[in-house]
Amino acid sequence: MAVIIFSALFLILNCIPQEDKYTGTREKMVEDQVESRGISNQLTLDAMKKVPRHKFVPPNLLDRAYDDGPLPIGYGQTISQPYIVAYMTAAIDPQPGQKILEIGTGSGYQAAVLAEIIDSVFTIEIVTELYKSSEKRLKELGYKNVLCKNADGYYGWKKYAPFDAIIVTAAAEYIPPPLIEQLKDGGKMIIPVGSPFLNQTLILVEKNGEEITTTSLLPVRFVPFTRGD
Amino acid sequence: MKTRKVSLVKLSFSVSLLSAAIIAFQLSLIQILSIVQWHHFAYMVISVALFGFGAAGTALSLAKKFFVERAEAILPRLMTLSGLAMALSISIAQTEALRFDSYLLFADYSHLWKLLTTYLLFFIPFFLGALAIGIIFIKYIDKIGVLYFANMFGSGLGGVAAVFLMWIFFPEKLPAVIAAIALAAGVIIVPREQRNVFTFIVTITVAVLAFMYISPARLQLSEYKSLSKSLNLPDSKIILKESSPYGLIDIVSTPYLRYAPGLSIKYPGVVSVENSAFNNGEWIGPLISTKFDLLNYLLFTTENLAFSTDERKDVLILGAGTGRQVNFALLNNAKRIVSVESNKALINLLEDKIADKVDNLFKNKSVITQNISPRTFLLSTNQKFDLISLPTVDSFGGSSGMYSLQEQYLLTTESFNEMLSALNHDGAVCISTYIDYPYRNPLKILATFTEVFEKRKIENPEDYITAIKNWNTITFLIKKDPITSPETDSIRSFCERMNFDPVILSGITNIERERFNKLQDTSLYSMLDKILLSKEEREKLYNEYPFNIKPATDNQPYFSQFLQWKTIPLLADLFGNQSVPFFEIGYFLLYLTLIQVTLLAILLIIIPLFKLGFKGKNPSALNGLSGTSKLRTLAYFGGLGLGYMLIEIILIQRFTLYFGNVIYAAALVVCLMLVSSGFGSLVSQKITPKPYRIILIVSVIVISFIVYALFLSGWLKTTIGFSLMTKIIFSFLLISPPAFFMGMPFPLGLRLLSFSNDSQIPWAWGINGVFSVVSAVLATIIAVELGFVWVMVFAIGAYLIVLASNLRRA
Repeated sequence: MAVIIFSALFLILNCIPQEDKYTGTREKMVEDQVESRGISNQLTLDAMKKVPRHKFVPPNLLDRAYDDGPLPIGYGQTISQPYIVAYMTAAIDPQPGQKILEIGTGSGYQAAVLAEIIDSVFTIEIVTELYKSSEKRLKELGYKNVLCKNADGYYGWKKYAPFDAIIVTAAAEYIPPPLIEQLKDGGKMIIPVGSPFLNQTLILVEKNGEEITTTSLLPVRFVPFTRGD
Repeated sequence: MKTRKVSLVKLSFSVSLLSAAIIAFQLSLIQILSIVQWHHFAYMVISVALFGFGAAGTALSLAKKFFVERAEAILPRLMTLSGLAMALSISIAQTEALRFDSYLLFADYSHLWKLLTTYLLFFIPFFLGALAIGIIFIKYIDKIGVLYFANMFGSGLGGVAAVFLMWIFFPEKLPAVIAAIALAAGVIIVPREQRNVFTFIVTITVAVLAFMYISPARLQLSEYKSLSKSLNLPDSKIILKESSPYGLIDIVSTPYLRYAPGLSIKYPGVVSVENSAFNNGEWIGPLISTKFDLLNYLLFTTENLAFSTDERKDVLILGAGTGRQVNFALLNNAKRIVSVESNKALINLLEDKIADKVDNLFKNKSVITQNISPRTFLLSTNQKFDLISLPTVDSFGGSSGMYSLQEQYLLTTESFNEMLSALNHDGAVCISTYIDYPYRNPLKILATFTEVFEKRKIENPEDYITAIKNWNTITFLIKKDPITSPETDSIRSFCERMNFDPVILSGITNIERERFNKLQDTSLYSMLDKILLSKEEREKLYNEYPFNIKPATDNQPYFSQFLQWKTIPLLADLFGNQSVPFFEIGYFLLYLTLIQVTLLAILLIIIPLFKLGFKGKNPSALNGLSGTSKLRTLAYFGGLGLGYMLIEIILIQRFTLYFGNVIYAAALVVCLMLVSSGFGSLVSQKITPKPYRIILIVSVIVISFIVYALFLSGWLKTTIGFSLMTKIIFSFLLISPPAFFMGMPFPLGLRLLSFSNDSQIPWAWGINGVFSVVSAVLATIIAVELGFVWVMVFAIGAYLIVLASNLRRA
């Protein structure tokens, strides 16, 4: 009897994810950098608390993984500021059961956050080295619902279209027509605009039938930069 | 072993060669650092490195006897080592362990240490070379006039030679070539007694230089440069490289780079770019085919606004780059297209080696290419056009304020006024910009045109201006005549078809402005309206808005400089401390550079005083006024260093517009100034140095500067349309006489000092070097904050300080 109890206990304990030493830091990050700035989407907040951001940054920047800013990840790319990731996630309002396309996997962090919420994440990265490292990382972290591809994101991923939402993380000068096509009716696309180390403006694209509208978003935390309006 | 003195001829020749090598290396370093990093970082690194001169003065002050007694033996070694350091410093700085990335300086602080190491590496060749020159000046002080002439003459020629060499050698090979010149300088003055030893040293050095030439360091660009990011894309490769004083052009073949600013969301097709051009690692533009089906996406951009309202047969493209807008004009059936581009190397490529990549666009008989700066073209042309098209302002993805210190003469009120004058009846100017946030570029563009219309006594500029936007781009169309009602309808119809929103248009409503592309912060519209409403409202906005959106002028041509110090706390609060530098990184770097050079200057000036004494009797002084005499020395030589460089910068600025080419203008001005000053120095050798004579000479200089301040701009404007040869002669007449006199005070002052306070000579020389470096940085700050007119005022002030210091002969 004791053996059974102890075995059961052992099993239960191993099923519960062990706290990593950054859990507290991560929760503080969500509290201070995300929630306090007006993000209230619970699914997003929960996802941000779960995903170990420190696993997605270069080893020499581990101590800064939860800082309030972007970090370089090589190949001229950055892992976005936690707030931006949260904001973009909340803006497209992901729900369980959805299919979302990400253009520009980068470190894989955004894909991981989405994967905590929705059923399927399809993510495309054009830089082969980044694709390989992020795919490996996502697999090792157990994100089975993320499918990665090393390709030109301009053409989207027709095989799995249409998508409930599309996140374009690579700065684009225009919105590729194939992506518009692969967005579901009623779907949303979000694109950050701006320099990688500067807080970015987010553009939300909404498709309603034939009508496509864009909205330039500001993170709610930042009051509109106006005077004398 | 006592070595024989070197002959004056050999010494002069050696000084000339070494001076030429130092200047050429400086220019080569600027070129290399601009390629691997950005221009402002190049500037910062070099400013610090040039303290090698000041440090040499300090070293000589502290150990003058040691160096002077061993001069003949030390000098060839110093020159050789300087050359070696020139060749090796680049390679070492490019190693993995030491290479810094300026973009990461504010994000990854380990790069700060790498930056400090880089400073040191580039400091060494300047220090060693300057030390050699300083020893020669001190040891042969009685011949300072001749030697200073050699120094100036060599420096002038070195600048010209560097420009010439940049056409022949790739940037990574150039340091080895230049180092050979420094080596030659050392070989010339090897004492006979040391020839055997030195032969061995020379052989090793030649071997090293040959190796560095054959196998130079690979230049590693910042990973954040456009070229680096592009080469990360699959199947991307460099297919051609071309080096010139304009920079290093890379032609990249890549099937993944697509460039279509202002593209409509309604465009159904594909945007394809096969090849792209980069200059110093930064994007210039796409090389696109002229086939219609590959080009027709251009008709779906906001820029097509210009052609949607009227036929435009005569088109002027200012800053044509790789010809995208030329294609645009041809697509819209323009009959005559004048394509103005200042980068000669790019034009050569587009007309020759890569002509096939643009389907021989520039051989089209409708296209007339002009190799001149766009602004200079405007100043000198009498032609009229239906459309004047400018390149898109700012870069997508943000330039992180990299352009904040770039002089942009095309975007000043004077320039916009000249554009309007160059239009036919019903002609228009078309200019696009990315919609930045916080809003800056669109506001400044509109403010500039509005002020131009005001100066033209047009009370309702909104009748002449229209603007449309998509999700990230806003395009302005500014007409010479009022926009008609049919044109207004055309614009609305164009917007409707393309999912664009009119932003400035007769009868516009806020609903219309936000139909397809919404802004969460709609204050942009009210601010644009205020700019158009009245002068009072506009001035009020300038004062209240946290960013500087006052139009740039020729006096302060820094269009992309938006930051105001008073708003930094606000920005830090809103955007976070880490992001603030990226708003205007060039601007921050400028002040950071000033702080660094000022601290170093103070250090290098003070250290020798521990030996010379801060105050009290100086054994060398004959009148016991040693404390005062040090102040006089500081004022005299500091003023000279400051004033000379300030004037040089002013003249480069003025003549850049005059010649329409910054490279050749700078080379001409620097060469004329230095060579003329060199002759002045030579003549001063015949003059017995007396205070009243120096006062007279400096007074002539001050009067020349006053004449410059009053008349130079006018003279240049009047003669800008003359032939090149006439302009060169005119430049000679304008620059050489004052420069001739400017070459005299320094050698005369040193000789005067040698009569009473010869221990101060190295210190004085060091002061001059230190202030030259500080003044280069100061000049830019003054120009940005107050305008170039004030740089002239400061230059005059510097020479007045020289007058007031009134060095005395005991």
